[in-house]
Amino acid sequence: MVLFLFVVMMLDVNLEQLRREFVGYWPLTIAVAGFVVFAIINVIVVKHLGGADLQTAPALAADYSNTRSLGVALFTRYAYPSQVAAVILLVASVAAIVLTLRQRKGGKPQNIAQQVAVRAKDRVRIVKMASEKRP
Amino acid sequence: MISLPYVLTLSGVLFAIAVAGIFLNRRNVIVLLMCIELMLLAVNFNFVAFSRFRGDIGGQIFVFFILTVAAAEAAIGLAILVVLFRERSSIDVEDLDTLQG
Repeated sequence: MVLFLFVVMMLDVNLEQLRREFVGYWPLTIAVAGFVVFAIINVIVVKHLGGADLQTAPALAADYSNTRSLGVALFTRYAYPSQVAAVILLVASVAAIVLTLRQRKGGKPQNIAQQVAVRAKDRVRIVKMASEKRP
Repeated sequence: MISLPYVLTLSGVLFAIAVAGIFLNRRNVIVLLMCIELMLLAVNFNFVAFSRFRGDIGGQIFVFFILTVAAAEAAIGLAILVVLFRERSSIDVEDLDTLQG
């Protein structure tokens, strides 16, 4: 969500135009959203979730810690999937940076490879010449 | 004690709001991304509710993975959006007709 705020600040969007175009699809919207709500209510209330008895949550022990059990599950049974998730996040952040990075025109960045590969003979030129007589 | 049907109904209403947002706002890509995000959050709500009521911690773990994928998707989507805005100076969906779709 913070990311969204940053992007909203970065982009200078013409709000007037967006507001003007906002109306348009009201009947279709109400129909689709109403259908979604109706389907879900139908499953829950009319069908009673297929007869499953899920009205009350199982009682928990007095010293039960949800954070603790989450951590135990995450680092034992789901250790490998969580590492895969970490890799996904890394790839996503690298991809976001690569997509938005832009080189400034006219900048003078260092070329590290060129600097390392340079040899003394490229930089210093020794000129042999006879000594000149004083006039 | 809140019973499961109330939680599921709330989740369904959230999802319906997200669907309505996508249908209503066909102009702004940022709002479309936010609506997709809201859909994922409604699904997460379902996962947590069933995890609690069935006494299985796996559902809450799965929410972590959904959040991971949602974060990755938001990051890449917003990056694409920034590049698009630099290219076109507009984030209107109607302007994205280069592929003639």
